[in-house]
Amino acid sequence: MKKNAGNPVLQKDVMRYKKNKFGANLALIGLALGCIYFLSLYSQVKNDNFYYTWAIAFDVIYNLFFLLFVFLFSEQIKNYDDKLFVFQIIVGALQVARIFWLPLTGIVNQAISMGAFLTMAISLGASGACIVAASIIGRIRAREVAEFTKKLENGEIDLDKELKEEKAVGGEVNA
Amino acid sequence: MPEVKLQSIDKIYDGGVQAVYDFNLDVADGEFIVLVGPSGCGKSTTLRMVAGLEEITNGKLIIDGKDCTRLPPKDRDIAMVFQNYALYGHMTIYENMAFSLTLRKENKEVIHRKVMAAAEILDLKTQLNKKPKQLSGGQRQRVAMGRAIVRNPKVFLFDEPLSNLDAKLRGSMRREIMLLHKKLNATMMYVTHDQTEALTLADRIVCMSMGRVQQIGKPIDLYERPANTFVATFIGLPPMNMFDGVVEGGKFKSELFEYPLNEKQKQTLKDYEGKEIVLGVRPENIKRGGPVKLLVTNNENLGMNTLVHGKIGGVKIVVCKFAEWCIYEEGQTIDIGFDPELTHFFEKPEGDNPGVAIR
Repeated sequence: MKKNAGNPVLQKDVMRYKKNKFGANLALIGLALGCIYFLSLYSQVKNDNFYYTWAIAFDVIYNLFFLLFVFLFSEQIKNYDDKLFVFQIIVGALQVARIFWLPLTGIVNQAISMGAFLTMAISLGASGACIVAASIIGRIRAREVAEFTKKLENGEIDLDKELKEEKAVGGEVNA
Repeated sequence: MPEVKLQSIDKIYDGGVQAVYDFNLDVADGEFIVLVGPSGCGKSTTLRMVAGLEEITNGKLIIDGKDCTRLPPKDRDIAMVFQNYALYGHMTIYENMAFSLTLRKENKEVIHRKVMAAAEILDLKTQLNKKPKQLSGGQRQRVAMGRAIVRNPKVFLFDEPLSNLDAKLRGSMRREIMLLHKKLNATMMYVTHDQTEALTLADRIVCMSMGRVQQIGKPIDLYERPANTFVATFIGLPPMNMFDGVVEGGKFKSELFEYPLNEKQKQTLKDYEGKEIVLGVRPENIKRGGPVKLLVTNNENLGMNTLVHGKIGGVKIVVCKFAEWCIYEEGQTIDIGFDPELTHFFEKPEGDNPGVAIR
């Protein structure tokens, strides 16, 4: 791999053409971990056991919205759109909070094993962490891109000059 | 930029079908070579052998002094632009152009500089965030070229890149390729069946037929001094009119007409007295007034000139291109003559003889 000293202007300019895949993938990992949680939970639901109540119905509906929203968030983050940043943080925090609802009440009432509880707790916690991290990364990068674009529009940055500098020095570009 | 040498190259497919026979060509540094010929003449096969997409059966391929005959395509440092663009539909234009460099794990900043430079050359800067399906055919072809440019290859190969475009776009893209060659001063090999592209783009043209090279030369050489009847009829639009006949007593005698030869022509044809030869004359070298009677069948006024289609002796169809605006009625007979300085003579094509030019 060729090493380069790094030009902060060009690094920001690249962001205008490359999507925020890291942030988007992090959000999708959060979604996948959320799936692990509800698959673990629903495998514990049996006729007439502790979980066989209206709470599961509510959880199923919430999960449907969760899947939809997190997918939407990942697309927004990918495109440097931070309009739903607060909502993303709330959904991430809710994932962590959910540990204290069905998984915790289940273990307290001895409806599930410690292994099942840990699976649910870890997947929910990690899911929440990923979504929050993705939101923060998305927010930071979206602001960077917006700020850079504004500077370009205002003529504060001469992008052509930055692009041509390397040509003159290293001859990296053939044109 | 490097030289490319193709030495005695043959291509024989598994079934024994030979597509290319004894192809020899030296492409100079920064030269624009166009391979032209009808479909199935082996021009694309030759280009694909240079690219490494087809195995070379016999012969040697040397790029920049290095024997590349058996080298895999990735190690030849060449870039190829295809007729169907071969862009990735799910990637943006930027990602398409950057793809080959990303695979090489180049530094992101270097990739960015190269992509932006190529986009500037090809006027694609405003399209970089779009997907290929959002672009026109011409723009897509420019992206395909951009993808080749960013790699900074030793040789650019183009396989009928403009064939998918409409006539107007083809004209403008042709000019862009010409400008691109001037800007990059790169060694380029270009395959086309369109003689207009060949004549306008090439430093030298390789005219092929049936897997064999018919003539290699500058565009003007192929047009004014075709090596044989194939080149004579393939290059030029409308094609050259050809008449079979015999040289007798200072005249070219065909079944349809007799044409007196001037002193220079008599001298050229002195060894062919009594032999069958072919007289060729381009439509634009036919003048009004002369010993040949033409029965007009169709008159096409093109604004800047007039194409007159007619028959000689009621059989031979001839096309004349007059620089003036002429109006002839169907069935009218006109006298025509051939410009003696621009009349061509060829041996009669027989067996292995493609009808070589008599000079």
